[in-house]
Amino acid sequence: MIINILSLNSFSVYAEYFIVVSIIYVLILFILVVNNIQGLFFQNVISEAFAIILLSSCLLILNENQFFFNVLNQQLKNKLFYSLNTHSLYDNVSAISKFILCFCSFIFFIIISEFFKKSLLTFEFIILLFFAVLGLIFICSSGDFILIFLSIELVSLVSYLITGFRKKSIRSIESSIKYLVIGAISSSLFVLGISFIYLFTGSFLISDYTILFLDLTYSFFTKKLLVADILINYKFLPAFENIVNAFGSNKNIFSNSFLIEIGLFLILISVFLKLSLAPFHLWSLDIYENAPIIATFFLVPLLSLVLLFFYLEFLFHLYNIIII
Amino acid sequence: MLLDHIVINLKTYYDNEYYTSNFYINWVNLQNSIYEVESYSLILYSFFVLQFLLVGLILLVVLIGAVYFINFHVKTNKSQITVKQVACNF
Repeated sequence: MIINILSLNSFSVYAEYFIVVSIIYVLILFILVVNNIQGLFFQNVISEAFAIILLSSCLLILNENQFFFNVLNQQLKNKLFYSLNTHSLYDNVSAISKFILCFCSFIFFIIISEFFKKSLLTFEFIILLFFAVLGLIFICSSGDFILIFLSIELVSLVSYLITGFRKKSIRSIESSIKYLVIGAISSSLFVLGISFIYLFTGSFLISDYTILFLDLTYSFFTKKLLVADILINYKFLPAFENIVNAFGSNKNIFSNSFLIEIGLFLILISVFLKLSLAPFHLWSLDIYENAPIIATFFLVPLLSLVLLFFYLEFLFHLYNIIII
Repeated sequence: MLLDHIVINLKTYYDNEYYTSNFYINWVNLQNSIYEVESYSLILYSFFVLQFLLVGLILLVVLIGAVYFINFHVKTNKSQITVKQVACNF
């Protein structure tokens, strides 16, 4: 029985791979030297070192063939390809969002380097921040709901930890607990939405969801609604009969597409919660006021940016918008 | 039975470039084979390998956070860091 374990059409995760290896290397290094005199020296330069790592990951993203060929040559045609068993998605939106994220993180790590020189925060803080950056990069390049959920959880966990990083401050711990509760609610709604969509379609992959909205293919430049010859709706899914048989003869469950609408609605609510958009914005004030300044400086812009990019990309693929 | 079902799907997926996973598997009929560990491992280590590694990273983050928050230094002896006393920048 021969199975190809990974179908790598192209290795589009250079930046993620490089960042993971660098995190693990730095973590091992610091664990070995933290109680020595050399640890004090390394703590001075850790922030700048991570900034250089992010700058080199920017270069890795720029040097990928697809990005260079499309964006820098001003070709607007959105070439999309998948790798790693269609779990990793690569197109112009993901490339640009990854590049902006890495560059902004590079500037962020240079700005906060003074905090580490005065030894106000320990090395664990910056390693956790780097894990958060990794999670944000995974959100940009994921083509699968499970990967998106896990990367959002990675960022959220780091956020809970860094908001409560000042152990001796009651306010900091209180903000961390509040953020934990809100984040848990948001994640649970996200998973519930994914489960509804899986119930309807049988797949987690975003590439499979384009079939749901094929009759809404729209071209921005030609301004034509390209209607498919065959109106594909849920009744023509290959396994419609299996779905009905699994739930008995009650065909009314699938007479409307409300299940997928509920799923998308729940995902929307969870994203609104995370981005602190109205009417789910009241938690942000308590948390940003009492958390360490570096934590708010990191959370507010970068997390919002990446979740907005994710939502844009998801809608692009869902509604099969073609920019020609 | 579950194992055979998964193997057939994986083979067609990798052999045929136009084959997508847009199908629904009726798990109710495969209920007897739901405890096959080999089938789960085939899926986890081939199709969901990236997610598996990411879960490991999440656990690593939890470990780092737990170690940091639980660490409690009790100073029994007075100590000095000579480097800090001698250096200009510390």
